[in-house]
Amino acid sequence: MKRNTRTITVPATLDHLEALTGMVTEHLSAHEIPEKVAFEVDLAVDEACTNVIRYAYGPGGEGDVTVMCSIDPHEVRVCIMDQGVPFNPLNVKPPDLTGDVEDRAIGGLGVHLIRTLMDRVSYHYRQGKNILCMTKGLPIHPKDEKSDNL
Amino acid sequence: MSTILQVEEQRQGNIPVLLLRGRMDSTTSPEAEGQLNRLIGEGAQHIVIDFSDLEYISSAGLRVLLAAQKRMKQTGGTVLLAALRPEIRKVFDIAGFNRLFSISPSIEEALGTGQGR
Repeated sequence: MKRNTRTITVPATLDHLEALTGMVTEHLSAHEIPEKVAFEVDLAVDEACTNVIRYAYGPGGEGDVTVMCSIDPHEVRVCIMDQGVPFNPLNVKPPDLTGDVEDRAIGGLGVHLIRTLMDRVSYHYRQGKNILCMTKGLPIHPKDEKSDNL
Repeated sequence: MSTILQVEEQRQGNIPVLLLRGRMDSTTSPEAEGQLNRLIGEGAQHIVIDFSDLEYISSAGLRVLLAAQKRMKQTGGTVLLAALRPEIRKVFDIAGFNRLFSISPSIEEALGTGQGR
């Protein structure tokens, strides 16, 4: 079945983060994707885009970020693309979650959230582009599952 | 869906209660960070954060909370969290923050924790 896809490209700056996550959440809402799935996809897209905005083009650098969101009956798939410094977030070591408050590093949780909340995450560097794709499966009867409590 | 964060301060006796409403991400978290830093600077021993109207939190929001808890620990105080929605509670669990914060089902219970210490 043909995927239903929406795409947005904006400058990779923090004031465009809302447009990126907003496009995805509107697309999910229009397809009546369950709130729990939508929350988790929204968060993963936020974390991935925030990383691109903060780090892809280096201090003072400028460039674009593209988000492509596809929905089919079985899954939601979001790809985030930039033309910045090659960076594979899947190489980031998982954070140590065992320490006390004093020992815990500030940061490093974004990639951990993406990997935990999404069912599949892949990274490729092709033709000068970082391409991070994240997939979340949909429940069999999406309209019946509204929350964790069911 | 809200795309802003409102931070409202209330007082329960001597204990400040911050009510967060909306979305706590990398764009909006500095607002909460400013309020927390001010309260810590004023010498608050305990700060209760009411999450009942918070719809969303990202790692940027978690970072602000962890930084505040680190500062409070240095002075023997603590940040207490209350009334997290299930999807936000899940984010806290994944991040291992359930080990770093006292998380109460309600404001009343969080205040009981703060006053009992």
